[in-house]
Amino acid sequence: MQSLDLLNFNQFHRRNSRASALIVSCGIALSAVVSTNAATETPDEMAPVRVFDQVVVPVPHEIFAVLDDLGIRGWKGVAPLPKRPQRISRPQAALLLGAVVAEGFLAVQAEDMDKTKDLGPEVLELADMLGVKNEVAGHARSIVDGADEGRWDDVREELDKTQQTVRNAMTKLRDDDLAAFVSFGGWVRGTEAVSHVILDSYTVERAELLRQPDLARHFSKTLKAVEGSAAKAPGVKTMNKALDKLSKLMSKEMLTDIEVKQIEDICTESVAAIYGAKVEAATDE
Amino acid sequence: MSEVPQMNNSNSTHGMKTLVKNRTLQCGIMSLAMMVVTPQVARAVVDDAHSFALEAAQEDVEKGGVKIRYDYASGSLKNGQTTTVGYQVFRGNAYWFYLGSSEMVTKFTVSVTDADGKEIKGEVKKFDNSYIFQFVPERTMLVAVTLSGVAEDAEEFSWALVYGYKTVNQSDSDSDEVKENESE
Repeated sequence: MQSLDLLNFNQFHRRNSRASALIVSCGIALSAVVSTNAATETPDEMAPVRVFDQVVVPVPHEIFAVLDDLGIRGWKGVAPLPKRPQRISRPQAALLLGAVVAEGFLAVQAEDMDKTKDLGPEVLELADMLGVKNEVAGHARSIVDGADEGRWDDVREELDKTQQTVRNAMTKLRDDDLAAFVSFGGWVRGTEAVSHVILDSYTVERAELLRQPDLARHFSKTLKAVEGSAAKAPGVKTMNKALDKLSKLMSKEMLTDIEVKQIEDICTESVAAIYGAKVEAATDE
Repeated sequence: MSEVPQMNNSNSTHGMKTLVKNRTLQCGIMSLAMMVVTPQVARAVVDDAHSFALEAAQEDVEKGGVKIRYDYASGSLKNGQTTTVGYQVFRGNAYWFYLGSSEMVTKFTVSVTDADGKEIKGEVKKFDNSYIFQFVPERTMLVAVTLSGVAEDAEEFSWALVYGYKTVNQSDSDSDEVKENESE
């Protein structure tokens, strides 16, 4: 794995890890919740299989809040999102919209007014590309207004609503794949940010927040079932490989700092890939 | 999934903000049922179930500082049919699940299990015809909420499961731990 070679930690805990109880999700598309297709999947060894009809994907703030409560304040140190390419497809717009919403949660956590305000129009542009501009316009306006007035809880609420509104609209348009892309874009960017912040002041307990193998597996299953133009969206190949690695890493009972760094690197690579960076080769090992 | 005890709030009106005395059931597991009788209400749809779930959350949001997610699980079930929803929970947060039904008289059976399939202990309350289940996860994991129900006056019903979260004071017990990469 290439990210291993990049690490330069002298020591780290290599604790015995065992496969956690895991889940294979399958099911039906209902509401705005990401659902996956019932298909065969080989779970990790020793992992009992659980079957889900729906999986609700958390927003970054659910973890940010825990870290914030622990006095972690490294939110401004997270690298910004890559520059958006000029031409993007609808599937890519869905991925980016998810990432931008996660970026919004990050900006709010850092109480960065300018950055948060900048994200309002960006959300609107991406929603326009997805054909849901009207549905999102009110949320985008509220994000900007809320940031202007420092009403951070309100902005968080609007970010959550934005994601929900877009996914609902995608589902109504029978674009379930794109609805899942929105969720994935948000999750991978949020996980990248969380990994970075945890690594800044690593403890085993904080690293436990990254133990989300079931979600990684859920996304992996969902992405592998994607067909048509969505399957050809930038980054999908990278993301599939990334999710396989993430599900294994995140299954570990205790994540070491070097493993947290690996998670961050994998997520950074995935985010770059959905922005169109040529990273496919890097993950082809 | 465990058999459920009966809870009968006979004079409750669907949609009213009257807080039925929240009977806290110290259950070892989340196993419960509800009976609310107001037969003249028209058949509702998923959004009604969602609205009722949100109503159940209102007090926790306003007075308890619980943050409600706008993403929620929902659907329709035939009587006796089962569905399972996965929720990623994080150690350091407390979680509230609000289960609403479109039907006035619905007996629910709900089970919340951890990643190992063990049932999770929590506090169960009732608000009108909605359920509230609150727990503090001991570790970060995906929990499974499995539910089924029987509607008294219908062959099927719509349901919605909303959740909220709030950080709980936690000791970062291993904060002095590790970081050996720095010290060595």
